[in-house]
Amino acid sequence: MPILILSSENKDLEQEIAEKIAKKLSYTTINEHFLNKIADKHLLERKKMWEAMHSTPSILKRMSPKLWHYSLSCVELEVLERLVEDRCVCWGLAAHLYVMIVSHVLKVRLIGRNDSCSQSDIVKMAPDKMKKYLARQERDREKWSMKAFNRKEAEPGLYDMVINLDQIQVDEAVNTLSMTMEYPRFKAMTYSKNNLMDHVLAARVKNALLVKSMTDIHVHTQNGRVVVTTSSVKREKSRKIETIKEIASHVKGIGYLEVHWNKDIITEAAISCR
Amino acid sequence: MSKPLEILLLDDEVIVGKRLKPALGSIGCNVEVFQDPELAVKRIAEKDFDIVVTDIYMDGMDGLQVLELVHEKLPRTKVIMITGYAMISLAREAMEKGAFDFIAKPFKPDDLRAVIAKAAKALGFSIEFNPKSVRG
Repeated sequence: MPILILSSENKDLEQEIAEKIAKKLSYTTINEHFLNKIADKHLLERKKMWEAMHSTPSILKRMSPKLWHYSLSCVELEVLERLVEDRCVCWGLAAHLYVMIVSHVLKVRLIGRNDSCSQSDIVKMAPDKMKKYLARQERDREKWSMKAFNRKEAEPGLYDMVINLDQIQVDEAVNTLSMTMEYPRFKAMTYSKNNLMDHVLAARVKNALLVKSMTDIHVHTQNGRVVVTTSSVKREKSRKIETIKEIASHVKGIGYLEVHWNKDIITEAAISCR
Repeated sequence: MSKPLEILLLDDEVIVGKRLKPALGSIGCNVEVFQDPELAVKRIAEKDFDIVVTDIYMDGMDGLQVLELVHEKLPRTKVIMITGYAMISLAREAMEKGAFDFIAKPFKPDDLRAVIAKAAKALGFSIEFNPKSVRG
């Protein structure tokens, strides 16, 4: 059976649908409450972890880009490790943004029924004010997902299915989704399981490098082969490559590793102008 | 069941057959290797194979057509797709058409042996296979 990932601005209906499907299929669930466990495991402040998942880094919020990236990497890692265990409904963790090419993950966007949000600040609002509030919320989410994963969270093309809750009732959505999950096309296969394992391995390496304050890194994994791309000034090239190799060599599941280095032209230019 | 598992392996790259035939033979399978899909289809019409392992992109006929032909003749036969051009849409299409599994190339012989063992189990055969390098 596939994994189901839901995404919606309407947190209440999203949760209701997710829980009903999980119950119907005897699946486990994973949602925003998992953030506290992740924070505790990685020795991060719970409040900061929630902040990192909802806003972009800023000096005013005392959230540095380094801490923000590291927090998100912890979430990505722990969610992926959990998804590997299979039979799971996941929501509220933007997980669809990092399992795009895993074919046994059914990614669903729920839209509409904004009027039914139970968030107290929305309920009390006049319709035009609520519209503005929701538009701002959507802009903030877009900004966050672009900064974090270079993808617009609400973009329909990122999903296998978009359900409009203004037109489809909750129970109908639950039935449609449980039926869709039985389609053979969403069955787990060697290719998709290996894809997911590649994501897990990349997330482990990225997390291990970020915890050691390595910056400017991009990790790509295919068929268990890990390629880390980084940049620095030329004089730091050897040291940076060696450090990456040393850190990554301790990561669980690591086999073949390659480090690609690019010259950091901007810093080089700044140094030569001094 | 004590009779060996009958496998047809179809891939237009000679090296794939050369490498995989002994790998599958070592777990007690009878393997017939083909590079030409037309010849493979003729052989499938003559003989009932338990498992067909086929590449997808080949000249003349693609693996998805082979999959459909196999299932028309013998629905119980398990078809395993292998390809160097794996994509999410292609993988999903193959599974929807009834493929037993889908593997991206390159893969280790142990990866295929693990899938063959799983298919064999689904068919009621028992294959002794101790994976050394299968990921998961």
